[in-house]
Amino acid sequence: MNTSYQYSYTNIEELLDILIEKGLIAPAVDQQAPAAGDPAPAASEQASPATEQHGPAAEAAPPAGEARGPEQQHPTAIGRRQVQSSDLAFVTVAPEAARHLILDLRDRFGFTHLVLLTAVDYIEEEKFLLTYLLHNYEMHHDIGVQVPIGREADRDSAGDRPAEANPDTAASMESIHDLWAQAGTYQRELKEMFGIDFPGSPRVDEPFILEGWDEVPPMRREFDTKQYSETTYFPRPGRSTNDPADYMRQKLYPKE
Amino acid sequence: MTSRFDASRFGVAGRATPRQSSVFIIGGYASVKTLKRIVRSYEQMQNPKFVIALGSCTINGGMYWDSYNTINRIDQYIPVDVYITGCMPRPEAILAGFVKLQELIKSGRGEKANEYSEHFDWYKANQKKVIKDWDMPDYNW
Repeated sequence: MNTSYQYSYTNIEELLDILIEKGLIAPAVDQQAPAAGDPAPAASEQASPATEQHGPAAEAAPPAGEARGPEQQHPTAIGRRQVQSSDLAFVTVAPEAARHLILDLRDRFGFTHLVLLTAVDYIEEEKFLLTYLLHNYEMHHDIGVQVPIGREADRDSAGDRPAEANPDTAASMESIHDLWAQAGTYQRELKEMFGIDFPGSPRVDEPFILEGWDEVPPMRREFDTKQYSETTYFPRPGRSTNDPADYMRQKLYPKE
Repeated sequence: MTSRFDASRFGVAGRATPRQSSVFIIGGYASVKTLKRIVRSYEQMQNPKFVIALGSCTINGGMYWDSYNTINRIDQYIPVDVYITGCMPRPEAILAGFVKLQELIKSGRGEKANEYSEHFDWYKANQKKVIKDWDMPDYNW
């Protein structure tokens, strides 16, 4: 039991229940979502109306049974939550609700340490999934706050933001460098490797590891690393590779 | 190269700066960012100067052969006198490489540094192909 923060909890399931109760994460996922309205704005609203809206729906949902539960949802689906183990859980929230949730986790629940901030490229969904992993030193719990954002570069090559940039599809996210100073470094890396913009983050447009990179950001999945390497650098002719499994099979069972 | 292998018995000793050194060991994979510093350091070295490429990564890219940011062959950018294979090479291999380099020098074949000035344009074109934000002095000696 942690005591020095405003909200105390004993295990990670209880933490998720409290987060739902406080309206910080969306309670009922896809089952009753159309009836209850878009869960994204509800999550960012005040706690009490959200609970009233979703409370009956959440109780009615489990007996229905045919809809997928929060654990089976796609990671980019807002409202997904997954308890990975007794000390690790993931929740997916809308971009506009993320900062509020992260700040509350830090200041009211004791998740004072930003372990990492990274992105996963779900190119099929045209989404990046940002993951903020937070750690609670008192409880030794981790929670991953996952935020789906668009993956269109919202600045042209000259660094200007085009007028028609769509906030729903742009690869852009609110900066949290004021919550943890080291987040600025993560955001700089994400800008360089994925092209995700964090307006206002310190030195976010400066090169970090790559110098003079003028291609698609290399960690985006549309970037063909092997082809780029073959055309840019000088592959040594005559280089051959063996698939370890095939090679072992040949050596061990040459007759087959 | 710790005291256990006693490199100094072969006349091998570290120097503080490239300007005092005559052998440049490229000690592993080189990213484009590192290559820029390698070229800068190499051009500051005084003649006679020699380059030892250490490990698979400097020879054919090694396990980084398909990386977006790691060059495959260091000898496309600066001339290399001795290649030492292995990933990682044993300390004995490094010492054997130095002995080989001494043999090459004695037999008059350690003149790769001259190739750099003879094929200067070719080396510069290769370097500038990957180092896109070239902000170093263009020597013309």
